[in-house]
Amino acid sequence: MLLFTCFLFGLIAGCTEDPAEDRGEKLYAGYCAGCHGLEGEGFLQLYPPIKNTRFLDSNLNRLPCIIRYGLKGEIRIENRIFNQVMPANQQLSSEDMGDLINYMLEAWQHRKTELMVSDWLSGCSNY
Amino acid sequence: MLIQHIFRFIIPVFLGVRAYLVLNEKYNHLRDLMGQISMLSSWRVLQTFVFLLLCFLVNGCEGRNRAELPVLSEVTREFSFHNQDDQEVSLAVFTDKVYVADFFFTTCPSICPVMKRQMIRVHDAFRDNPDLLLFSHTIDPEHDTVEVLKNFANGLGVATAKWQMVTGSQEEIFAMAKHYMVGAMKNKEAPGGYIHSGSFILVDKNKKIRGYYNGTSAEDVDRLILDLKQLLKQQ
Repeated sequence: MLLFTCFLFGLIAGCTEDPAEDRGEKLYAGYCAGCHGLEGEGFLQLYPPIKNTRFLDSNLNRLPCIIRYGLKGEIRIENRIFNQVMPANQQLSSEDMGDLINYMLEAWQHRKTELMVSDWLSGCSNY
Repeated sequence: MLIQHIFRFIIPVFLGVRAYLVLNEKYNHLRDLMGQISMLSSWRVLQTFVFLLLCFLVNGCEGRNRAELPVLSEVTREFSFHNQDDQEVSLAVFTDKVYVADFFFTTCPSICPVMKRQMIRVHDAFRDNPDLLLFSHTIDPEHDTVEVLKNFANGLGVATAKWQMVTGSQEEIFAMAKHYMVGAMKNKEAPGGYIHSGSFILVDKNKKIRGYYNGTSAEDVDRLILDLKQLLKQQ
């Protein structure tokens, strides 16, 4: 009986987890956390933070292009200048990016808006 | 650190005094036996001797050494690279120094940033110890020029005298990786275009390799820091 109850609880707990957010978290840990930190805190003057930055809020539409094609040159984040090469992540699909960006917004309590990843990606001509 | 040292001294003394008091009480009848005044002075000498002996015994147990680090290989190959300040770096730079070497590249999307997070811990732990240097080789010299390495070192906030980041001929860098017995090679399939080991290599003042550590594991780097403390104390 006890075992059965545990099993039921496990089943319910398993079902209530949001698979998209779970995917987003895994993608973040696999592709972003190495440089930007597990909590999006950044690393010294080398890799900029993402968590709680105005950059994340005000550049959402640029984010998919940055993720896919990388970034080069000086960038100012929260009044600190960073200047490293961010490598391209060609292997992430627009669906991956949607989950990834949603995870970041959710985990760090940023304002959530509708993501139009595919549209934004089609405007990546400057990269 | 100071508190640690104070405790290291106080605890054995305290235990010594306690043991002495217990023994003193137990063998009090001995003193009664040697009741003569002439015997009392030698009794005191004996007491002091037992007290000191106990102190040493307890202290010896407290500070016993960890096992000696093994000698795994020796760095005999000469090399000539250029660091982030465009100075030539050869084996001579590491004369009378213990050093930790690794292989990386600045645009590496996978393990390198994690390795650098760990290497900076080693850097911070021994920042003021002139006997330890850090030595990072780029395996992508085509991209990682002297200027790129300088920019990278600035981002980490580290001084060249402490942390040498070098570039040079790719052939020579790969040959050095092989000499250290760690892997580094080009691979089109790999993220960033290279496959390389995430090892930190510990080399002593006699150019003997004394350990390999997984540079992406905090626990392994804890072990490296402990081994470095031991080695720097010995050498």
